Amino acid sequence: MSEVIVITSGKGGVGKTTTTANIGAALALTGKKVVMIDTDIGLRNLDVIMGVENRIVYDLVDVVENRCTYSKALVRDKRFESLFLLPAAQSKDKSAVTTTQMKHLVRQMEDSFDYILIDCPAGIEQGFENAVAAAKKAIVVAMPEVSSVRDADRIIGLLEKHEISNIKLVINKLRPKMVENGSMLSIEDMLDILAIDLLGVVPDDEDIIIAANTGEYVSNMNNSKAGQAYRNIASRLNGEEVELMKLKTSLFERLFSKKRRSAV
Amino acid sequence: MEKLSVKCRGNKIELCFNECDNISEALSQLQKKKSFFNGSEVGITYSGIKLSYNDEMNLEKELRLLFGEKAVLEKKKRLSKKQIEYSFREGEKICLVAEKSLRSGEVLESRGDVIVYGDVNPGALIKANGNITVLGALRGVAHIKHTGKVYATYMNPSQIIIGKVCSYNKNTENVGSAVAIAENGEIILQRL
Repeated sequence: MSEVIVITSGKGGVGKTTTTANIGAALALTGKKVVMIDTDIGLRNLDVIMGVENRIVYDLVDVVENRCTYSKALVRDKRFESLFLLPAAQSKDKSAVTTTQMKHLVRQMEDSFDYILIDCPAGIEQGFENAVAAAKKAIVVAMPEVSSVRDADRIIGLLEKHEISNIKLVINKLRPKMVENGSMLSIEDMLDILAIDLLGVVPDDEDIIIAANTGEYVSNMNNSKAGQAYRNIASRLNGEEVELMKLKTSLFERLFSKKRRSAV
Repeated sequence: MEKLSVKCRGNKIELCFNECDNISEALSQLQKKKSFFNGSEVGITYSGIKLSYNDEMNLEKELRLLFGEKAVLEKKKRLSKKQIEYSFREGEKICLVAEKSLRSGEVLESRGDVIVYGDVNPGALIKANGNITVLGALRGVAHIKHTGKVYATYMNPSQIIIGKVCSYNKNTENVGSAVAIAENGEIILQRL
């Protein structure tokens, strides 16, 4: 039996799709068999971030309407043997799939994978309902911004209504310097309001943008802090206990890393 | 005159109870015409009788037995504002208890008091006729319809409305545990 996890946030632009792709890749790195389902029908992005856009033949809507089997629609990742994508349709909209169809699809897939990650679209309409319908666990992605925290709070309420009790928080795009200055919400502030378990903290990192643009995974880059954060999240999902990464760097470390970089 | 007659009203069926004490007895007349409805979607209203909320639920159950799962009983509207005030004067005390945090978008409405064991997050709304007590942080909106007080162990509300008096978020930082009351057309926060 696989773990079915929906990755959601309510607000758009906080990094659901990037988080899905990188957690998926990090889990595949640990040898797990992972499938990612993009439910953002009409605005699909996950394939672009993975860099497999030109390999899509069938999509989610084809599968649920029985035009092909799900295994035909799956796209295997270029680098990881055990990472698959079930892409969304680009020419339809969210109403093309119903919750019962999603449940049926996930039930079919459950035996063949270790993890099923469902990338949820922004908003709380039909797309959200579809993404949540089959999930048993949830990861809520939030940025240290008041609006993002507010939407995450609403989403957690809705998830609880859907009887998903295992909800974990991933804080994305954190800037340790701004937190230090007091101009950004701290991790504690966010946990105080949201009151759920913290799964991981991903710092704001240029590498994420570079990686997404080139179809790479930041979690596959060894010297990236964000990559380390995603690998830690994957280990925590696998049940290991990993301490939160140190985000602040001391002066000595900074000097050292600069020297090392110039040497390389 | 029959105890129960059936009328058609718009797209619904109206059951008219005539001087009838026992509903089930009246309904047994319908039993003979069971096949007429046979599983179709029926919207049902009723008249000629006063039913409490529980009675309505029982009536709907019986109707479902008769007509199948698709039968829907349109429930009568509950007490009006004046009736509520009246029932309070009669000494009736209602208290709604929530043993969880209220998250953004959730609304808790009570005809009487409200007690929340948990936080009330920004975007959540509590409406009550009596007092509101939050054993946690109050960051959302507390609305008391007539008179009452708002207690919270950590008071940082986005808004408190008591009767016709409204507080726009005054400097409520670091208030801690406090009670909000309406006095001279203003909301006043007093530390506990």
